Amino acid sequence: MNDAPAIAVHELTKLFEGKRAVDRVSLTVARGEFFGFLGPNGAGKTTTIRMLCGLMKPTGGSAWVAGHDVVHDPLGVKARIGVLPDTVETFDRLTGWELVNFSGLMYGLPEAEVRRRAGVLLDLVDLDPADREKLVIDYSMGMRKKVALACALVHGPEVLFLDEPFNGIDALSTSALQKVLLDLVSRGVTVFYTSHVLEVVEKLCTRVGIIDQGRLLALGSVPELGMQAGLGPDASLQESFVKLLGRETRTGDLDWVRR
Amino acid sequence: MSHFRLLLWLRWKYLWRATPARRVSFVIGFVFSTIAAVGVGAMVFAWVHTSRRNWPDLTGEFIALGFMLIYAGWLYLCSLSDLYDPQRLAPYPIRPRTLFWGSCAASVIGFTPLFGIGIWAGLTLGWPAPLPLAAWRSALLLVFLAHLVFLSRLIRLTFLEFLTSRRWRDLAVLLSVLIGGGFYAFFQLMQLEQFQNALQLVVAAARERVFSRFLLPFPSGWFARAWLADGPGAMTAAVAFIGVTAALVVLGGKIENRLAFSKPVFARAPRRKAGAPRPFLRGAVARVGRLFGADVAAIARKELTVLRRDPLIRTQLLTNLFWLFPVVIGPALAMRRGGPAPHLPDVLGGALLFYELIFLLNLLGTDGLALRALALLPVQRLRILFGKHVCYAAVFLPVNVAVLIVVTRVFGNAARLPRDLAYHAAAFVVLVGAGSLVSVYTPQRLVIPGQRRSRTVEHEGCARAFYRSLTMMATLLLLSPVALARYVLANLGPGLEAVLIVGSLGYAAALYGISLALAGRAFTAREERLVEFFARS
Repeated sequence: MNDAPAIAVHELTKLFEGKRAVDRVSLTVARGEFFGFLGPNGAGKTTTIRMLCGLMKPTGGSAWVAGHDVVHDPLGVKARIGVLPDTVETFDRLTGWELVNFSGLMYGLPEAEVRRRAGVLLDLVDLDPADREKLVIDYSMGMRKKVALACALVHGPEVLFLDEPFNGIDALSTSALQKVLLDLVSRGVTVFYTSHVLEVVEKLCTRVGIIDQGRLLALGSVPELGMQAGLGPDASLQESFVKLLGRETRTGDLDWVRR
Repeated sequence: MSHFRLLLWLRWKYLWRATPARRVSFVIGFVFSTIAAVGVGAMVFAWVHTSRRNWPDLTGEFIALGFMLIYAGWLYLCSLSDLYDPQRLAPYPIRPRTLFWGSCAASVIGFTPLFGIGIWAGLTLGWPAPLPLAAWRSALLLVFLAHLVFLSRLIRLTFLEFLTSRRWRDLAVLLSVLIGGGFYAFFQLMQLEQFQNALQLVVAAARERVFSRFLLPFPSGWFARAWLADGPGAMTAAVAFIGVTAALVVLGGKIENRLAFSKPVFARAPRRKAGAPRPFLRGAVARVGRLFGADVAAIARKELTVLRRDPLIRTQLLTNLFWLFPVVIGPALAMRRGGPAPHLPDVLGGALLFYELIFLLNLLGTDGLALRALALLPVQRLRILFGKHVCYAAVFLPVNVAVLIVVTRVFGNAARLPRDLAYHAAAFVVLVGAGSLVSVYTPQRLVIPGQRRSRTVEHEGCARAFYRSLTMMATLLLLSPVALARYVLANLGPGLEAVLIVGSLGYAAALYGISLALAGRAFTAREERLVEFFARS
């Protein structure tokens, strides 16, 4: 393993029809770091992730993931990352078992090894043998997420991009998956994690970046963000997040609602 | 396993699992495709053989026309499956060129190649040639089929954003009904002698060299020239066609590459128009609100919006209109042969009501799972049903009245029009009233062909179908007093007709009032079961 950071982003920019979706974002994520990437809806999180995954060409700037240039070597990036998107659009006429096997083979793993890993991963995400043989189209949202996570992990990625991974998953499975992710991080895997559930981000992430209107507003650990927001190191991530965005929380005058 | 082989494997799995009853569906699909492919082969054989026997000097012209038809037909019928959309496979480390090759090669898996074999067999048997020429033609035909597959994929890739939009899906449903219905109507109207005239027109055009002249600038024309191999231009045409095919491959890889890195197609945010949307039929709904109350107007507007926006429901409405053709065409042709068709307005009026029954007897079917949201509203259930009636009356009655006026003026007795309209209105009101009871007691999912459903949905079963047919018979029984007045009692004396019309309308109004009251009560009592029924859909 080389010493280069897992993710290195410099002045990354993306324009959509003249509008700056991502505006000169620069950040570095070390190997084995659990990094949180936060922002309100439409802030530019998904666009940034898509550029880092080699799924979208940046308009300007540069980015390296796992030591590979996302613009000039997107296949090299894709071979070293695992992605769990927010909405799981996948091959839903395959069974869960087949889908994980298909993913492993697409990453060039030998068939016997893919089968071994698929078994381990589906045990890990708690998908019982009967459910593994069902078509993905018949899965609940939680089951789809679990299978998608297994697909993202089957090839042993160096960097894992997770977009709302616990959305739709029950509390028991969420707890188990969080342990799995922390274990992966302890083994040197880098997790780039986005979520709107700030309590979970605060619990899991070592550092957090906050993006709004395409610009990176703040970067640091939760106490550092509290300091940057002027709230002190003990401020919660929620308080710092709201303060850093600098927007009033709207309440409105609901005069027709009675106590 | 290589990416290429995995893409083929994916296609095979999807083909095998296209329907729940895999083995049976596969065998049925194979048998029907083979029969259809043999049919295509026979048509090609007949086309080439007949033209060589009857018009040997024009065979080249017919070949040019034939390949143009195959070219255009293939592109029209080509499958636009989203299995290999780049946005879906882009997260994997797969080369765009591999994706293009793999997705095109996967077309071989399935029933489509049977048609290629049919075309090849038809051409080879229809125009026997020495072995070297036959081999050359066979090789060229393979290039031709590959060309069509590449071009289909390229079209899909180029218009991917539009083809995956909701707007296109809605439009496609409508287009397929219009095109299918148009063909149906065309063949109903076309008679045998007109087909013979059409063939003579084609022969005349071939004599004028119309096809080779106008088709030569296009790839299908180049291919025809190459396939005929009968002149100095044949080799140039072959090189040009193969060159275009190679260009399609290069272009395909480039477009695949562009799409894999373009803005996300599936995650595209909808463009919204500035300002608040204008409510549909605002004025009419406001008048309904003033007449019957805001809750009834809101339900009617919701129902109208669903009818207008849901492509599957729109399809059902349009399909019903096309099904009216056999009812109209038969009597119209009979009239052309000498006899008038005085009963056509009656038949057509009955047919219109019959085709509207799918909605009138299934008022809750358009809501489906959304019935749960409707159940939360603090509105009298009777008024919910009444709101739906207002909507259907507003949609169906103007169409029925307009059709009856036109058909009566053309085919029937115009003097009878007011009476026919009165009886029709009475029948409509009876059906709407009875329909509320049927809707509440035997709800149905609005099953429409092509609708995607979960694999685990159980079929409704024979007992339910039998129960529903009983309710249908009961509904028709309730209609019988109006039919009796119109067709039996009205013949007893001309002075009686006014009384019969008033009586029919009174009967319809009374039946409607009673049915609606009963249905409203039943809706309240059975609400939980109804919601549960649709939740299982």
